[in-house]
Amino acid sequence: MKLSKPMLIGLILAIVLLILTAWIVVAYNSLVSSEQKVEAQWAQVENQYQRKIDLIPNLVNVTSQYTQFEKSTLENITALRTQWLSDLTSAERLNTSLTLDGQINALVLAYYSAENYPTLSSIPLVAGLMDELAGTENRIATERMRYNEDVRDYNTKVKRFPSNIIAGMFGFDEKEYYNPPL
Amino acid sequence: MRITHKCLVAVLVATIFVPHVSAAQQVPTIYLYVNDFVGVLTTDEIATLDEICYELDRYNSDELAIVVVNTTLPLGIDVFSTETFQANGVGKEGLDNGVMILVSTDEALWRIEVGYGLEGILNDAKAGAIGRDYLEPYLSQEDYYAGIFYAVSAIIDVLTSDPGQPSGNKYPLFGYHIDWWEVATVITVFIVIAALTRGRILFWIGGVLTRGRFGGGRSGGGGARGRF
Repeated sequence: MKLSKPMLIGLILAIVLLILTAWIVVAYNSLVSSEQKVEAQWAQVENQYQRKIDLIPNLVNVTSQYTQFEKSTLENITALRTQWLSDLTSAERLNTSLTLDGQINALVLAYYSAENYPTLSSIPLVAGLMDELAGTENRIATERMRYNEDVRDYNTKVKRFPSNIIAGMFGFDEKEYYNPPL
Repeated sequence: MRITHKCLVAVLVATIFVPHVSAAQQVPTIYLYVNDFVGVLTTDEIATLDEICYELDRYNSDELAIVVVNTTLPLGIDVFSTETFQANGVGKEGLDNGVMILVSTDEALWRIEVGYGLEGILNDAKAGAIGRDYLEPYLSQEDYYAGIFYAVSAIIDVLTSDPGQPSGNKYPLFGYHIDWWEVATVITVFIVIAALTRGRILFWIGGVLTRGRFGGGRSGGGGARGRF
């Protein structure tokens, strides 16, 4: 069967259209996957913050038995925890979390200055809690780092040519990095 | 034409000798199980520790890595530890059952990094206790072997006493690991060179046989650290 000229042109156009469609589908799906990865990773970050919040009551319980130990700091921490749980927006929670960090740091500093509380550091329960707090801080830092890496990959796809065309068409916006003020 | 042939051969052959470097950050590539980059352990001591870790691996497939470095700067011990753990995949893929003992001699810091899968039984508090009770007393005396040995024993105690852990290792254990990509590359290069030079080539085995690698486990940054 010999192809006439119009048929040949038609065939080439059809193939080009097919390739174009395939590319659009692939690019779109790639953006979707990246975005999902970012959101899943964000959930991990929030998870670790929750873990820290959950540790607080235990910390307060155990250390408040040693009545001289930083009573006002412990009260602040409990109040901040309650506030964290009732905060609604991400920004509010971030602020509260930062204040909470300051108070916890003060607590940990006091704990480690052995001259003030010589018996405290030898109590395994307290030492264990301090380990847990430090471990949770590290987990938060790790998950945040991974979140930023995922955001970077996603943003690169959104901004790079030619996938930025697809991003524009379907409404994929750049995401913000997680860089809380120090 | 001859000169082009030789250049091509040289380039192709040189690529076989590219050393293994872990991607991205400057973290070392580590192998099963003991990695002493400083030289504080003797060959016998390394062999004993290797043997112990191998037995643990065989018993319940947990992978225990031991790494001794001069310094973890500029990353700092926490980031260095997590990145090394992740890049080398300590623990079996899917199970994430890896533990890594890291000692930084210049900084006098230790860290026990625990993979996702073991965080339940080897929690931060236990890791911290093991570090303080077993690592610190000996490391502060520069008795690295004793500290690491006792810490390893304590960790194995915790890992093997939990009834939830799988017993028996269904994963095949290789003392040596064959990197199939290297094999494929070498064979392809061999064929190409043989075709180009009509059979007059040298055959390098190169980086095909290397020490065994870890199973691909992950860590979330859990564990504990301290100073000695």
